[in-house]
Parts: sequence; structure tokens; C-alpha cells
Amino acid sequence: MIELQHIFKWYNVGGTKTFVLKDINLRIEQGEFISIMGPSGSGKSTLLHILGNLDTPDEGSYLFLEEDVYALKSRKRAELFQSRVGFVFQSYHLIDELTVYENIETPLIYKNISSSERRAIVGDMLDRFGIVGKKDLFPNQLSGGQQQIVGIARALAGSPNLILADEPTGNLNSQQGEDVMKLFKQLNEEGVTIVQVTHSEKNAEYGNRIINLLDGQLKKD
Amino acid sequence: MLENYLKIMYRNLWRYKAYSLLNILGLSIGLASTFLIFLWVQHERSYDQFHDKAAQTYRLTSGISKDFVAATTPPPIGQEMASKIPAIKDHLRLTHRVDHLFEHDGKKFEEKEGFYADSNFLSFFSFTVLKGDPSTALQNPDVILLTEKMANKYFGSTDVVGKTLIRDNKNPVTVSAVLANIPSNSHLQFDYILPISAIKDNDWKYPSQDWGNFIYYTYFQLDEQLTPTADALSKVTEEIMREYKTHTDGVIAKTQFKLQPLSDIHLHSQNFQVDVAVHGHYLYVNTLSLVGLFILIVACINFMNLSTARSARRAREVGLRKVVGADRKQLITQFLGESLLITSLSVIIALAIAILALPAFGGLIGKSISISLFSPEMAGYLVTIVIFTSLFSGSYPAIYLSSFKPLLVLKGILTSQRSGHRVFRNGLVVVQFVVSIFLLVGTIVIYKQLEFIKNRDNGFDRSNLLYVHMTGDIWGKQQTWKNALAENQLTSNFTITDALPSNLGSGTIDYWYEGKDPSSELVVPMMDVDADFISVFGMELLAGRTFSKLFTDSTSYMINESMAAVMGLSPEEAVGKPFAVWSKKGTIVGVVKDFNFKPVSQSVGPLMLQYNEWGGMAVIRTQPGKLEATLAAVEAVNTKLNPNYPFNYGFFDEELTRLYESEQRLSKLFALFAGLGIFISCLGLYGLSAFMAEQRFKEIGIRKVLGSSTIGIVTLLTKSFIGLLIVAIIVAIPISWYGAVQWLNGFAYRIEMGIWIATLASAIALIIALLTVGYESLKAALMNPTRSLRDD
Ligand SMILES: Nc1ncnc2c1ncn2[C@@H]1O[C@H](COP(=O)(O)OP(=O)(O)OP(=O)(O)O)[C@@H](O)[C@H]1O
Ligand SMILES: [Mg+2]
Repeated sequence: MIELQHIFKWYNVGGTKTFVLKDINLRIEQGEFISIMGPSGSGKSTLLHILGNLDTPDEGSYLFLEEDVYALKSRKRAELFQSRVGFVFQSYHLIDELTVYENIETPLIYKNISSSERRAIVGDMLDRFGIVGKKDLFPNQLSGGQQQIVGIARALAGSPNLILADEPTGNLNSQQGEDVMKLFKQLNEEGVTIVQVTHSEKNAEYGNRIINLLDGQLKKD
Repeated sequence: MLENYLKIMYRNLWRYKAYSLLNILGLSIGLASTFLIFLWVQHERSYDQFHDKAAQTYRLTSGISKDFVAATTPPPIGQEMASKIPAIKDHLRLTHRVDHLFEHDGKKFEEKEGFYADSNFLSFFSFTVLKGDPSTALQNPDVILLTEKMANKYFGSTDVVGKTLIRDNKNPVTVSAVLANIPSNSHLQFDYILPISAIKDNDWKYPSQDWGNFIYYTYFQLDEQLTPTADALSKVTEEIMREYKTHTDGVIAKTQFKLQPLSDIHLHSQNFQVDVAVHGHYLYVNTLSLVGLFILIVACINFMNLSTARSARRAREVGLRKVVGADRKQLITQFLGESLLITSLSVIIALAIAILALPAFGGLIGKSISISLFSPEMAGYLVTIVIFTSLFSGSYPAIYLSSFKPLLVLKGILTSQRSGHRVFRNGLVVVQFVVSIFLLVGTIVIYKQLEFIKNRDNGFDRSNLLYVHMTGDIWGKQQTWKNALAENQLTSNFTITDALPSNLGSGTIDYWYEGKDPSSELVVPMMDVDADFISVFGMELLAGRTFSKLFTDSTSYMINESMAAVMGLSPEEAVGKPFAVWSKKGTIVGVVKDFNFKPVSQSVGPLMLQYNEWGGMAVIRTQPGKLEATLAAVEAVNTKLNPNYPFNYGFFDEELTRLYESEQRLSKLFALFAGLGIFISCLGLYGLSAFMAEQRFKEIGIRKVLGSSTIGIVTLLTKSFIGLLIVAIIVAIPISWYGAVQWLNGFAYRIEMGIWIATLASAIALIIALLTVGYESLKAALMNPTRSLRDD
């Protein structure tokens, strides 16, 4: 499904190149559940952003579903990723002016889904994460953990084939974290490919492969 | 989807309530102002267009020299030219405005708004006839055309064809037609029309064959086939002049005639002597159109500035929507739609404001105009504004923000580092303040010039002068009247004159003194005054004596200083010199110091005075504080001697003020709209500074925690605005200087454009702006720093 070849990413800081990703080569098959681990600042989020087409590397190529991503025009590229990827941000990134319900609904309104169907999907999500009571609240009325849950619900609402989750459990208590992991496991069994970044060994174990990043380089185990 | 967009729009507006209010209200007030201005401009430009043959109709004007052009022409010229020149298809003559007393059933009024006209009046012009047959209405000499207003005044109905009014207490006239009230955009304003055939041959208005007597307004209709190019028109006027020469000789034969298009009469009749009415001025219309445009620009800029600032806040939303699957087209639809909706809302509010303000505005401009919401022009104008403003303010978030990589937006790099839109926004602020300073300079200059006019030394004391025209029976009892006035010490200080020295039109070239160049084209006005003129007006005699009852002064003349200068003499030398007007030989007995007898736009020239033995009006200098008593005394005298005429009077001071009505109006309009312009600019500035402070909320908090003083923070926040204002001032001063000088050049007597005016305007703009920005900055500087650092 995913094939990264010789990916480099750097920033020019004070005239010198600081590498964030160095020669990353990575293959991810359909249906895998991958955990990316590594110390803070090692480039995990950057890698995930590149996978989700939220960011572009400075060098290297990316094949997504057999398509050479960087050879595509930006419009085509956006189309390729649009309905297939669900992204969970490390810092949630909910839309402040929309309620919990509406935030979860947003990906659906761009997908030509009828309003009754949308209601069903959002209702299902609220249910699954136990936040039915919070559906009319705005993000600033939620705790960090609750916001993270909504972010996950939003990513799942569009029923993507690929979930990219940046520390989805970082702000959750252990019970919640475990629930999310179980949910991911279940989705994975249903055929959804999952790539998560995590600092927790325990959560990493839910995946079937662990990738270690150190200073922007992959460390094979 | 639509619901989602509407909700987020509403919530954004609501969350930043004050900000949204500033935004919408600023645009609405600006739009409402421009609606009103453009309504007025449209009205001014629409004069006389309602006549069917407006495009072919011209008024014949005459000029002896460049400095002396008149709206009047000799009586025989119309008929003669229409018959001799093929390009002229029809002609129509009007007399000066006349004044008659009318009576019906005990209702008696003096009516000052009438004309005598040729019998084709109703076919020549297209005034709406309500009752009566237009083709025969002016056929007989004993008829009258009334407007709806006058018909109602006397008869309480418009269905009055065939009824009679008594004119001047003796002649019955029959109503032959009733016209709809004259549209306010007609240069001819009247209440009634009498036929020229009714004028008796001993009346000065009688249409004699005198080719040198310029007493009629003559209108022509040209051939429809004729394309009215400058060339074609000057061919027609050349033919007129060639023909005219065959009837006259001497200097008068050199009269230059011109065809003035009907639609130009209202706005392009600046220097005509003896014109039908107070006209508008194209310069004022242009100036105000410009002001209207400026306000529109300021308001739109303001709206765009505030909207783009607000949408920068929404950069995150744009980024997130892209992440979850929105494509650009959808984002563009959302944001353009949003700004379209807000703009439309503002336009609706603006219309409401305009409609509510219309009566007050009508009072200000001295005319009542109505908003025709459904006229194609209005619709076009509204749609243009909505599209322009919403495209401009909506395209920033729609096109600019949505083009970025979502990650950049989410990380906040866009708003903090991209400077492109900040430069753009600063540019807009500069433009806004340039416009505001321009308007301020305009306001100060107009105000100062009006003050100057008001306080100008007229050469006489303008206050406490009351005038009463001789009417009806008084003409036959002049001596008794004068004696009665002289007997009462309240009214005894009076003079008899033929005219007030406010706006003397007319004049003659038929005067003589020793050594006069026979080809001189200088037209000199003449006043007929009695012995007390100089003393009642408080003028200064430079040499010789005034007219006097003690002498036989029927062939004596007085002249003013300028006239003596024209003759090449000092005042002392002029006294005793032979002088003649209209071949009446006599001598100069006195020279008076120049006094004003023309509006400030024209310079005072030479003037001749002759002894008044025939009457006209009495000008009475009232004693301070005794105005009421004096009026009562004059009224008593008048009612006794002239019981059949209503008593009428006027104040000279008001007469002078009336000359500057359009300047006064311009001054008020300018002040109003300059104020609004600045107000709107400040709304924008306020919003923008609030926005900037908000953006630097965290920075300010941290700086405070680290020990920065309040003043330090205020300076930090206001610094950039001061720079912008300085740029605006540098740009605005030369532009407004140029504009002010242009405007002032329209006056023969004017103030000097001083650097202090520009400085004052800039200082006002600067202070208001600083107060606005300073307030927001101070608020930010005084906040509790923990508030900004708590989350994030
Ligand atoms: N705009 C930028 N300019 C310079 N360096 C940057 C920029 N953005 C990110 N970096 C650097 O890139 C490196 C990788 O960042 P990234 O967010 O991918 O780390 P991470 O592994 O997700 O860390 P964490 O576990 O703390 O989330 C960091 O060292 C950071 O300093
Ligand atoms: Mg990270």
C-alpha cells in the first residue's frame, strides 16, 4: 500500500541543513498495524505527516496505492488521499467554532453522504466513544483527553482505509487508552491499515510491527 | 453542508460580536452615505432630461465680452432666427420671473413664481398637463396656466379649467390648463404661466422690436437630423450672429451668441447675468461624487481589512477542512458565499439607514428626493457593490488561505510569518487615511472660505437692513409713502433704490465719458438710488457729494472708485467731469468707495449710480433691537396706503446669505461625510488594532511576566500604526493641497491655502487614530498576563 524510498527532510536553520528525516525506506502492506516509536524530536510526527500528504519531503519518492504521489498534480494528489486517510493529530486540532457533533460530521459533508446517513454515522461514533452527552459542547468545553477522543472519532467517521494516528492516547487515562487500542485492533482486523506513533511499549504491542526512529533514521530491530 | 457553513459563519460572527458589528456597521454606514450622495448626484445630473425633446433643445445665451455673458436675449431674435435658419425648428420665449397678485373668493396672495411665455410653451416643453387642452391653452391673452399646487391653493381642487382669478386687483384671467407640480429637477420652477400676448405695450417686458434690449430667455429646438457636434452648433450660432448684425450696429452688433444645451443649464450656468434661477454647480456635484466614491472606498477597505483579519483567525479551520477532505472548490464556495451573505446583509442595513435618513438628508440639500429601489441604476449599483466587496473580502480566505499546505496553517506559520497580506492590509490602512485627511482638509478649507465670505468687508454695513418693494397703489402714492416712512423715527432712516447690491446682473455699454475708446466692450452695471443711499448703507464717499434733494440731480451721476480707474482718473479728478448714459448728458458729482454688488465668485468692477426719481424699493436701516416695532410701523403704513396688497418684506442680510446657499450646503455635506469617513476609518483601525493585540496576546503576556512596562507594551503595539499614518500624511498633503487650491480658484476673493490647514487636518487624523489604537493597546497592556498564558 505504502512505499517510501530515500525520503529526506531537512530544515535550513542558520544556514546549515538540519536533517529531520534521513534516507527513510519503508514498505507498509495493506492490513498492517504499525507502531512508530522513538525519542522526542526524532521525526515521528514529520514522517506521519508525509505519509498523510500533509507535508512533503525534500527528497525521495512515495508510492501510495501503486501511484507515484509526487508525480501527481496537487489536485489529483489531494483526491487520492482525501477519502482514504483518517488523521489523528498529536494536538487534536478540532475546529473551535463547531460542536463535538459537527466536528465529527465535517469529513462526511465533503463526501456526498446524505444527511440521514451522516446522522447515523456520527451517532454511532458518539456511542462507540461514550461521548453522546458531550455532543453539543464546543472543544474549549472539553478536557484534553475528551478532545483527543473527538479527534479520533472524527478520523474514523469517514471510514478511511488508512488511519494515521499521532500519539492518539497521549492524553488518555490507561482505561481509555486501552479502549482506543482495542478499537484500533478491531478495525485492523476488519481490514483497515493503521500507523500509530506512540511512546508506550504496551500500546505499541497492539501493532504487528514496530518501527524505531532515531535522529531521523530507521533503526531495524 | 450549507447548514454547516451557515452555522460556523453565524458562530464566528457571534463569537467576535463587537468585531462583526464594527465590520457590518462600518460597511452599512459607508454604503448608506454613498447611496445618499449618489441619489443627490443623480438628481442633479437629471435636470431637464424629462422633456421629450431635451436632446434637441438649447437656450440662446449672449455675451458682450468674456466677462459679461447673459442668459437673456432680445425679444425679436427667436422668431427671426427660427424663420431664417433652417436648422432651427422651433423657438420659445420666456420673460423674467414676474410677480403678480391673484385673488379668488377672498383668497389673495402675491405670487412670485411666474413667467410669461409664448403660446407653444406646452408643446415645446413636456410638463405634464392634468386638465385642459395643451394645444390651445395659451392661445388667448386672458388665460393662465396653473400648477397643481397653485390650483389647490386657490380653489382646493385641480378641476378648475374655465374658472377665473383676479390678477392685480383688476384683470380677470381664466384658468386654461392645470399642470402637474413641476419636477424638482427642472431648471424652470414656476407656479403659473401667463401668455406673452397679455403684456401691454407700455410694460418694459413688452416684446418690442428692440434688438438691443436683452430681456427675454430664448429657447430653440434644432433639427433632429442635426448631429450636435461642436462644429455643427457653432455653424448655427454663426448664422445667428450674421443675421443679428443686420439688425444692429455699434458694439452691440458684436454680441456673441451661444447655444447652451438644455441639460447643461442646471450645472453649467456659472457666470450668466440675469439667469432664471439659482443653479447647481458641476464642480460641487463632481466634488461630492468624489467624496461619495471616497467613502465607498473607505468603507469597502474597512470591511475587507476587518474580514481578512478575521479570516486569518480561521486559517486553522481552512487547514483542518482540507485535512478531513475538503477540496479547494468547496472552501472557495464556503468563504465567498459567507462574504457574499455578510455583504448583502450590510447592503440591506445600508438601504434601511438610507431610507430613514432621507428626510434629514433632504433638509440638508434643500430638496426632497426619493429612493427608487427598483430602478435599474440602483439595482446595478447595489449588485456591483455586493459583488466587488464580497469578492474582495472573501477571496483572501477563499483563495489565498486554501492554497496553503494544511500543515503550515495548522502550525500557525502562515499567520505569524507570511507578511504578504500584512503589507496589503497596511496599504489599505494608508489609503483609508489618505482619503480621511483629504476630506478633513476639504472641510476646513470650505469652512474657512465661508467664514471669509461672511466676514468680508462689503464696503457697507449689511446688518439690520430691511427692504420693502413698492407694490400696487404705492406706485401712485410714492411721495405720501415716503413721507409716512420719514415721519416715524423707527423707519425714517431709509433710502429708495431700484435694486439691492447683492447680485447686480445686467448693465450697459451705452455710457460715455471724455476719451472713452469707442470699441470698448466693458459692460457697466447701473443702480438708481436716491440721496440717502450712501448714508443708509454706510458706504464711504471718496470725493464730491452724494445725490441731494437740494440739487436738481436728474442729470447727475455718481461712480465708484473702479469706474474712475477705468476712466484713468483719481476720485477727486473724476468729480465734475461730463458723463452720459443712454445719451442722457450730465456730470459726475461724487465718487463712492468700491462696495460689493456681486457674489464673491466675481470681482467687483466699475459701477454707475444715477438719481432715482421713479421708485423701486425702500431699504430701511432698523435700530438695533427694534426690528419688531419697525416692521409693524412699515406694515401699518403699507396697509393704509395699499390695502389691496399683502405686505411683503425681506432682510438684506438673508438675501446675501442666500447667494452662498450652495456653498453652505457643500460645507455641511462635506463636514458630514468627512466625519463619517473618519469614523469608518477609525472603526477599521480599532478592529485592526484589536486584532493585532489579540494575535500578540501571548507575546504581550510573556513580556509582562518578564517585566516589561505598560508604556513599553503600548509603544510596541502602536509603533507600526504611527508609521502607517505618517506615510498617509505624506501622501495626503499634496493631493488635498491641490484639490483645495483648485476649489478656491473658483472664487475671485478667497483665503490663502496655508500649511496650517494641512497640518491641522493631519494632526486631527493622527490624534483620533492614536486614541483609537492606543485604547486597544492599553487594554492589552493592562491585562492580567496569566490569562494569556493559561492554556496553549
Ligand atoms: N519548521 C521547522 N524548522 C526547523 N526545525 C523543525 C521545524 N519543524 C520541525 N522541526 C524539527 O524537526 C524535528 C522532528 O520533529 P517532529 O515533530 O517530527 O518530532 P517528533 O518525533 O514527533 O517529537 P515528539 O515525540 O515530541 O512529538 C524536531 O527536532 C524539530 O525541531
Ligand atoms: Mg510528534
